[in-house]
Amino acid sequence: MRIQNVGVAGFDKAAGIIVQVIAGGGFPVIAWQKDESGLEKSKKELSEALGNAINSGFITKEEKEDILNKITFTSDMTSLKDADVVIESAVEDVEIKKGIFSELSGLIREDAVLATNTSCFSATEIAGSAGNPQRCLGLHFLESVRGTKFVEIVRTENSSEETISLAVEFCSELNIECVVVKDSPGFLVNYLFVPYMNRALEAYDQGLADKEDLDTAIRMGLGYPKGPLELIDKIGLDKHLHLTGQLYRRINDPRFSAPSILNRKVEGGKLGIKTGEGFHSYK
Amino acid sequence: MSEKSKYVGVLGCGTMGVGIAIVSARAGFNTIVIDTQQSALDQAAAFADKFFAKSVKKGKMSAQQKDEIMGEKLTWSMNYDALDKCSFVIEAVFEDLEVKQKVFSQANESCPKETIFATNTSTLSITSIAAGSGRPEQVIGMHFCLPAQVMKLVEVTRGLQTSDDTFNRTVEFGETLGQVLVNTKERPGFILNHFIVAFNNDCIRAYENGLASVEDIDKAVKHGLGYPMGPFELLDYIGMDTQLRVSLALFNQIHDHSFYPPPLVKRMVDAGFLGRKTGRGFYKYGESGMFGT
Repeated sequence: MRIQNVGVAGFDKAAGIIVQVIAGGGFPVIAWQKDESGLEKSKKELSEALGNAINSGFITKEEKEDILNKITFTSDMTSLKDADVVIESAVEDVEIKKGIFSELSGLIREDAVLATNTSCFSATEIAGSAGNPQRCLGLHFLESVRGTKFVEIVRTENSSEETISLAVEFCSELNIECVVVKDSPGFLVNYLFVPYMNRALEAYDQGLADKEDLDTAIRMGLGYPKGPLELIDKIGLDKHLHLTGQLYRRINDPRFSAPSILNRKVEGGKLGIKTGEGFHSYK
Repeated sequence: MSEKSKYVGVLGCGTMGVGIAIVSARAGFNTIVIDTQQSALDQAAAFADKFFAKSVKKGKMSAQQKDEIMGEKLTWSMNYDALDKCSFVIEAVFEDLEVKQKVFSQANESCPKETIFATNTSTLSITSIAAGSGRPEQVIGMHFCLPAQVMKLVEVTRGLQTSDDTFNRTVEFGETLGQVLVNTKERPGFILNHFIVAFNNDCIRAYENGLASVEDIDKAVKHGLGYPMGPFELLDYIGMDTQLRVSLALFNQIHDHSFYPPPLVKRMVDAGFLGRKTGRGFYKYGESGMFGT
């Protein structure tokens, strides 16, 4: 296995899942972000996320300490120069992602792998801003409500076979389930999940059932870990709106068009658990 | 009237009917199961016996309780007159409007005036079924999940004419059965089929369009979303014939493309790739893969 040192570039919420998987798998991680003043905030958020994982019984206290000890936070990008793989996980803004790719491709070794954790943009487009896109790919990390982790390995138009097999090997080293997918909008999981969620929001808006009954039916009747409304409250309504909007722009399929109730809630500041109210109230 | 003295009728003893009969008898109701075929009744009785034998083995009930249920609580009949004491009749016959209307109109002749008729339809309109019952105000939807003897959820749906009294008595009855009830608007597919039929068709279409393999889609859905089964594992369990029938039933009422069965569904049905029950669907199965045996 030629991957020893892992870098994470940009530290949005999703980066928390990445470091959990990678540091939890025993690899040291260097977490870079541009803004020095944001370092403390990222550390705090990660610590909180790991605390929640303890409360849910997904990890132990010792594992949390282990994970935190394996991570070095920095705002100096040159710290990433010896990484064998760097996973970009900045905010979902394609220009920012492309900027990071372009900077990193001049910094890291020729044979190091460069990955983007985007969920809604084209990995091929982001990889295009790196000097040698053969060593680029998408690594989309997902975490289900049950705590299971999963990676979509996104093969871009220019990813080399070696890059893809290295990613597969890396996932198996980390003991995490993965699939190799096409670089099509939403890849696999979000391509199937987003229309389901939109359909649920529309059905609720049309009065199919009240919110508790809708969630109960899906949980008990279909065995999903959460009903759609409690799930979107956890994800964040703004985050889902952004995702479905970006996918709709690329696919032009009405199943991805944002339901009006989603727009109304977001406009009203009801973003889910984080604001105290989404579809359910958490006050 | 004490709970134990209450009588419940179940019309049709296929997989769903026998499951509902088990729930009803287990909750202490004298349960009369009606079917047109003696052989079907015998098969259903054997299935119930096996199920309760397993419950005894698992320590969920005593052998004596099992004997009481099989010997006294459950009766099997081809004669609708056996329903003459029932306060509730639940139909789980073939998913066809005329067939359902016919069994309700037959039950209407034999049942007391106050008896509530619940339909276990998954795709038809409660109002349409009620129209042929002779007592539309006392018809309501009670959609159990498969397998009914295990799953707790029941979707309760009022038709246009269903009375408040019928609804309230049904909620009370459902709770006595030990089920969890959710109230849905009368709309094709209610909650569960509205979502699962469209989701499964989306997954079939993704596979058909070459997005990913059957195995990869199942893996992504199970590990990425935490669902208990992948869509293709689930479809093999449901049966492609059922997926085709339910999809068309919903599409024909709503005309929403999400419900339209992808061409692969029909092709698999034509090829006899119905799922576990024929040994092959999206996956291949051995002899023991048969559901219910």
